[in-house]
Amino acid sequence: MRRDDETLLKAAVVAMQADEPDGEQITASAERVAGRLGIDFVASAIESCGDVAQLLPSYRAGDLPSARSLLIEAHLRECGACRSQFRNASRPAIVNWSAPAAARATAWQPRRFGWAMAACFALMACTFFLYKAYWQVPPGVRAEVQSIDGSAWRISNAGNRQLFRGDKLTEGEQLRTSGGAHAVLRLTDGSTVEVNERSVLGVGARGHNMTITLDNGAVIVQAAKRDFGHLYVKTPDCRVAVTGTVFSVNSGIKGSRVAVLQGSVHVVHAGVDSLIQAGDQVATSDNLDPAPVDQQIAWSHDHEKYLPLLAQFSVLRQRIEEIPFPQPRYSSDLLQRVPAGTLLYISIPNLGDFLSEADGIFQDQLSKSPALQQWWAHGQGNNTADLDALVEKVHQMSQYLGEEIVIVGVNQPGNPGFAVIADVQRGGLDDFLGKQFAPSTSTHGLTVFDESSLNAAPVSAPAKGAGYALVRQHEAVFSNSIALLKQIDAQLNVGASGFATGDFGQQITAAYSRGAGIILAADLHQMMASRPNSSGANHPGASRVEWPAREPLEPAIHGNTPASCLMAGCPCLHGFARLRHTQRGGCGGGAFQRPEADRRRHHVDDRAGQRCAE
Amino acid sequence: MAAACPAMPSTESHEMLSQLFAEHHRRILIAACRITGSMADAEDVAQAVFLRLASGKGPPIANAGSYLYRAAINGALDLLRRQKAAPAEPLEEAAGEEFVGHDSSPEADASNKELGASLRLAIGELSPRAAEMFTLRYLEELGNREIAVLMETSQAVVAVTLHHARSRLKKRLRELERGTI
Repeated sequence: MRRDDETLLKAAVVAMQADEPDGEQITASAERVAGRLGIDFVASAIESCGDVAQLLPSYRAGDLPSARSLLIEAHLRECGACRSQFRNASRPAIVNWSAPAAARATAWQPRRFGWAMAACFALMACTFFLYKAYWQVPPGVRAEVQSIDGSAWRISNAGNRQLFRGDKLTEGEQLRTSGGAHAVLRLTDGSTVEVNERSVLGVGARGHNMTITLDNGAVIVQAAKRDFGHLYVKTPDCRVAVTGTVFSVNSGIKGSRVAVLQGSVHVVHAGVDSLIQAGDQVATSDNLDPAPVDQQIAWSHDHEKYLPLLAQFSVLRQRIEEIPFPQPRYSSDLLQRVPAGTLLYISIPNLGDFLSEADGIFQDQLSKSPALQQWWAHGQGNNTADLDALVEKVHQMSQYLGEEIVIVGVNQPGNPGFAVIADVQRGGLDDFLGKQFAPSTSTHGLTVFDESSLNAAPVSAPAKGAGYALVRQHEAVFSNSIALLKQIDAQLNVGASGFATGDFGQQITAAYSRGAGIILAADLHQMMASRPNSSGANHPGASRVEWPAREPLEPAIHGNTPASCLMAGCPCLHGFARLRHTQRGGCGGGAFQRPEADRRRHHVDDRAGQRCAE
Repeated sequence: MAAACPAMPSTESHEMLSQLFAEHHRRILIAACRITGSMADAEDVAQAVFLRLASGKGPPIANAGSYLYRAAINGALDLLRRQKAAPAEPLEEAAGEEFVGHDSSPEADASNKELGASLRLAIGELSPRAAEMFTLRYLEELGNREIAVLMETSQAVVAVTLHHARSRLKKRLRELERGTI
């Protein structure tokens, strides 16, 4: 029978592999070779696994001669069965009698701990600065007694001692005025505290902040302006945070009353932060009977200085409130013409007349009132002319523009572009802008284009100074980007952009239909999607956007004019987060109103409202 | 012998040689015996390998085992080639040290001896490098990767060389079986 080549080769290989000598032959050959080489070789009887197994205990104990140990090691390297038997038998049988090794110190690896050290240092630095800013107790005195009528006492752990003019109060000490007494303290930050009779107060400092703790009595504080920190006045039931204002605090058993003479203060009471304007007051308890501010400060030696100023502020506010505010707008032509890719839409009324009239009232009042003149000169210097010029410039420009001004933000390659669009209601705006915003030694001025000159302008021209203005026959556009100006110009030539018919535009249209004073609308979904490295609508921040309601809107809202805030694309704000001014010129400012609070009126999606409420 | 002789420190050559011999003689003798088919030839190969190691400056101890093993294989292959060039009577028969195979069947034993002798003859006709690779792969049963590392070449070269060697050996075995040497 003939075998194929492969089988034949395999059979030949097997035949060669089978030519393996047995143990006796190897031992005999080894002895002969060792004899010829002249080396020491012990004829070994270790030729089988059984022989090795018998010698393993002695091998483990180290009792074998070196030559036989080498034979065992050589066999263990070649024979897997004996090796596993040796290992398995070693595990339970061998007891480590050797002395325990000394613990090795952990090697120092700077690279491994580099980031951890950096984080630790950063944390320590932050902690240090926070400690310095908020918790460190500065050394030294806290206040100095400038004047005392009657008797006042220092209450401290060292005992009570009468205070005199020039004495100093330190951390932890209290001042107590007796009946009929009156004292004036000057704090280390420059603030002045006028203390009424039967008052108890202490002055402390933590970091950049100072705190007057009024346990009982009344004070009038003229807070100095400061760059860092605040001056706080704490009573048992409220805290007043101020900077650069004048106010009085009256604290008693029934509660506290805070009245503001100049500026504004934040009063935190029962977890609510209230902003109190000049001439207003707030009480922390309903049991406190309302009292006019002038009565509250009647005890002050300077009340004759405060009262006229207080009266002037009251008259000024009353007259300004009487100025008619632009009526709500129920539709908008500009909405049809803004670019289709608008992501931010802000609509405000043309306030030129309002500002001009308010400025006229203020100037009139200022000219009549020496107290107001003194306050204005002390606080603002002699820049009345600058204010007049600015207001006049705004007023004049407003005469060229329509009743509505729209600010749009458009996503562009590189940076987002912003533009201000308004209707032009009379000619000559380009000449006015050219004269009023001409380049000077300190400013680059405003570059004014008409349509032909805009077409000739290079898109890549660097932005200069106050930006660019395009004055068309019926519209005026201001922007910081020539490219955006060209885009809007082309859009205006075509007509409606289609923005108003989109989802975002329809929401704005709905806001107009309810009557709009100020509209702030942002398409958050598209904004997130256009950001580099952004996950678009899935961005976790999209569901946590809160509108900074009070501060940016409050000065601009007046009367019953509503302000609407829309954020399209935000999962929790498919409805309208609506800002409405709740008090006519009062101290309440804007109030953030959730959609579900006014559902019947605003047709808010129920589920969105629930999400918002959550 | 294809493998270079590494150096060995002369001061401790005797003791070191004794240790190396005790540790590696079995593996060397078996490998040489498989290739040559003769225990006497295997003894000669082992003696030559250890003498060469003792005369040189010696390799590092960690590499001595690999060196001896490969040197033994190459020495045995050299011996095969010399026997092909000058056929002689098997030494074991002359010395009365005939190798005793494992197969107890006389007929099968004779057939295997003849087949093994044919393959040895064919291996002796291969190039030294191909013969060494074939021996390491099919007699010592090392993997291609181990062979490549041992011979400082790539696995692809090992695979190609083995493929050609197998083809040549098949062809040569067929010729020997037909008696057309």
